[in-house]
Amino acid sequence: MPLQYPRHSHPWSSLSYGRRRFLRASTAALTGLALTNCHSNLTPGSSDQKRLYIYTWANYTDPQITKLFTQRTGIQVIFDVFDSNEVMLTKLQSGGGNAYSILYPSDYMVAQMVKLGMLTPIDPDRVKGLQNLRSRWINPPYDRHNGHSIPFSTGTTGLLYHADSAIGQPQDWDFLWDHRQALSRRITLIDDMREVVGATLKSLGYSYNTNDATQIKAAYSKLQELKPHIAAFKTNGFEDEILSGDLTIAMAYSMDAMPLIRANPRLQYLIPRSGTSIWTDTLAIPASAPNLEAAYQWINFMLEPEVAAGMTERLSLGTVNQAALDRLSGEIRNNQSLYPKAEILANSETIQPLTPATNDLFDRLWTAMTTS
Amino acid sequence: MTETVNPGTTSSPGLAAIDVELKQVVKIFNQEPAVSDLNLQVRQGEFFSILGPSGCGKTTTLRLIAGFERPSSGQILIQGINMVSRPAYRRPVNTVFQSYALFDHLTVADNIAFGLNIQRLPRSQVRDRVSEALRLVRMEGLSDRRPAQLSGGQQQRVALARALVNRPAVMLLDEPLGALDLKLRKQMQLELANLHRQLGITFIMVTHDQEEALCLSDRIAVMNRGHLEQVGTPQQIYDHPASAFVADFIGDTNLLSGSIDSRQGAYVQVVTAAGLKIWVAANDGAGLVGPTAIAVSIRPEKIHLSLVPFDQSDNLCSGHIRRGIYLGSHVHWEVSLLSGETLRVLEPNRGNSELAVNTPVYLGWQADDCRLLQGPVL
Amino acid sequence: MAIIDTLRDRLRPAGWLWPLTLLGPAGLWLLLLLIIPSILILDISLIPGLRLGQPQTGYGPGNYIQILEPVYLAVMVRSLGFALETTLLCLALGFPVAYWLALRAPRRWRNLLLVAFILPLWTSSLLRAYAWVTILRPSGLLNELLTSLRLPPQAWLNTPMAVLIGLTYSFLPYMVLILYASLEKLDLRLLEAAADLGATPRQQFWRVTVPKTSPGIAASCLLVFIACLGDFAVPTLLGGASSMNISRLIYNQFLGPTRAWGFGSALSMVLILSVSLAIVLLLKYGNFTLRKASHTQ
Repeated sequence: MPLQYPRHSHPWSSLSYGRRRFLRASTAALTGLALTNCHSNLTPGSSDQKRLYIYTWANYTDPQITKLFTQRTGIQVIFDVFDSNEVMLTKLQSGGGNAYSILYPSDYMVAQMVKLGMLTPIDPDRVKGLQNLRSRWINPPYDRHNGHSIPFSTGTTGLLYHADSAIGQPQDWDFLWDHRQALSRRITLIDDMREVVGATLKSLGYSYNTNDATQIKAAYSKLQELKPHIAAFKTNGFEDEILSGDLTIAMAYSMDAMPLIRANPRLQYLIPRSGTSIWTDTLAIPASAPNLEAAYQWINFMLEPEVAAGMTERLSLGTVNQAALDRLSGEIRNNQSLYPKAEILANSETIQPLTPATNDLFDRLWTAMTTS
Repeated sequence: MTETVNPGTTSSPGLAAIDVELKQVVKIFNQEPAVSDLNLQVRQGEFFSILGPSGCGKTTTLRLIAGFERPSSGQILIQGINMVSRPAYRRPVNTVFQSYALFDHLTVADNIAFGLNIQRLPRSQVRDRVSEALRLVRMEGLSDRRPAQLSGGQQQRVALARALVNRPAVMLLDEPLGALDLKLRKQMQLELANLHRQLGITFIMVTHDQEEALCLSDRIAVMNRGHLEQVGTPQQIYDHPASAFVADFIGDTNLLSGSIDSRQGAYVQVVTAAGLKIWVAANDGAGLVGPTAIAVSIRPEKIHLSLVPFDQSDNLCSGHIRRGIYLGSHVHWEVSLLSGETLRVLEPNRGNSELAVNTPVYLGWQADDCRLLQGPVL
Repeated sequence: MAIIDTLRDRLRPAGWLWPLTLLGPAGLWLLLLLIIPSILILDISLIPGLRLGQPQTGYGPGNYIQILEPVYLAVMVRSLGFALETTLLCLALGFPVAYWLALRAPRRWRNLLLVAFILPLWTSSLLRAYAWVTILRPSGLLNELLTSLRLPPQAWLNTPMAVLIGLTYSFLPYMVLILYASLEKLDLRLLEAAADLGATPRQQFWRVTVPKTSPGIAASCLLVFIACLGDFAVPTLLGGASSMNISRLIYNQFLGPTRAWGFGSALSMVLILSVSLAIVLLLKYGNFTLRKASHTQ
């Protein structure tokens, strides 16, 4: 759970089901590397062209879609799962990922892996359907012209809250500070320093990705005012508490918030006015991929509007594929939590890697904050 | 009968005061009486032994006195005070355990000082008394050892010192020498006797070893199946057993069951089951004339064995030797009588080479050496 | 059996081979999964500011000096404090239970009671921590109980108290199990001997029971202490906004954006060394009593 970017820890197709999945995902998270490494039943030399090894998020393994792919191509798909980008990176760097031909890194991780030379450049001639991408993802900031990755899904960070609370309805991050006495110990924030400090930076008018120590320290001071009133930093595990009303408001990822809103219609999800972080998960081919042919077949399959629409809908994700979006029902298409208006998108940012010095500063500040 | 052969229960105001008294004590374990209706008086300064086979209730009796068990009914008085509701740690007694129960996390000196430290005596006083106790048990110089580094005999001495250093009114010893080998046991018996003499405290010792009880005790209580058979001096117990059990348990004896046929002055004639007629000192057995089953005890060393008939004896009969067991100073003969009984005879070893298996012999003994006992032989 | 006997006879000429065969698998396991990784961690910890994927600098103590920064020292102190408090709480709660189980409970119920007591260990520690969320949250079972007793509800979840409760619950069975094993071997005749020498039940306890079971007490305390230091789930789920601890700090160094493997390794080494030191001390002490025990047998 102290994972850096665990937006994808669980899909809540229904709540009773979700609980089990939550526990599984959390167990995976808490046992960390140990568990993920247990999956390395893959030998680097398994160049069998009828097998495709994919390393992906725990909840991205949709059996229906996989079956369809195997029926169509005759290629058997084998999944390994991770619960944070860093776990995936570490496994690849330590040589445990030579069998994979497809990875699902998030935006900032794509940038980092490109820098480390760990991704195979995408051959645009072998990819079909790129023209369907929504405009924001045609030339994303983390990977110019999608040279090393194909965007697949998107989501935001926002506030999940009880709409009938007497305190009123939030419009922006500052709501937390303005009502901190009334909300005291009824707030949870995501267990991620970049998200929490980033949202505070945003509320001060700064960027999520600033490397300016003065700005970061200002955000930290502001956060200190809120700290005594925060019940916990939780990315997951707050669900029961917010459903029961023990919590009034929780900072949450959109994909985690949607199933909770379906379970309790009094809950609402807000993307704060001053902007938020917006993330993208991509498909990428590692430099060591043994089965390029199958990898491209998978990418093309995932780009098919039908496949993308079905999968993103089931997983409460936002699709980056316009053709897929067109296929979704009006209700989903008009869900501003998943598909925010252009002006909100304009204020929002993709979280990007910081300089090592800034990372160190973040670590010290976060350690101090969660120790006191 | 109890009145004459059981002087222990007779109150003797002229003698020393009573230190420990048990009145109608009953202890029931799991609906089984371990001790039933026990009455016992132990005099001050006495070396008192409780003797009996295993399971007779002797250890339970000691544990009742120490306070590790509570009697189901009855009273236990120590120096005149009823102790029944008093926990073990408030009784003026100290115990030497069969297993020694030494504290192996403490040194020898700390073991001995345990009781004194509990009493919060001044440090210098504790030191003095511990070294005095160590000297008494001849363990000087071993005070810093751990119990595990000592031999069995040394552990025994530490256990003794640990108890006596507290100067209890009564020392309780539960089979204190049971774990030692024969030679060491003999030596420790002497030391126990010396200690008792030096300290002048009442000792109550539980043992199953009759020899140990006989040689150490002022008085002995013989127990069987939870009740008291007899209390008396070693001589009383041996020479005037109050029951067939005591006669049999203490020393070796010939027990013949039968009934009283006739009476002549201070003597009665007993007819055994096999038809042998024996003259026996009547004691108080006069009332037993008739068909009542009785037993006669004759100690093997009281029977005289001869190749020829002789007439100095009240009783004379003939038989032949069935077996001879050579004991060094003595020879133990088993003689089959013509009437069918077998008697054991203990004769000094006079180098009589004529005696062999099947040799016809005559046995004679005095009527006064026979004991008339209640009840048939079990 | 016959096969084993022949096998042993076969092996006898090479006398060194038999112990090696017995120790080999465990030794290999230790070498591969404990000793070699520890050496690797030590190596990494001595490279200041090492980050994966970046050029290495020379060796130096920089990472260890970084631990001494107040912000990180505070994490250490806090973790040690929680571990110590939990250990003492486990001892205070576990000793009476173990004592009762070993010396007072009806003999035929003993095993059943013991099993009942360690049954929670059969479930995942995460599940147990999550169960405590349900109990401790503001509208949870505990507050419902308090309300029904007309007592004011309290904030339990997301407090240090919740961590203490969760950790104690998690490790109490270990404490009880080890103490039970130790108390069960207590020679009750020693307590009688102490009583005979005038010791009240309280004095018997402090002067005999406690010293006689001290190796068990030390072992169980050490185990609980170490387990507390390494626990991850309970502080994260129950500790609220201030849930930082040493294992999480290490995790953050390895898998957080700093990717400061050097610093993380130094933290790990400090943890490994302090735990090893504690175990060595215990073995030394434990051995002493073991030697004594074997003499008395």
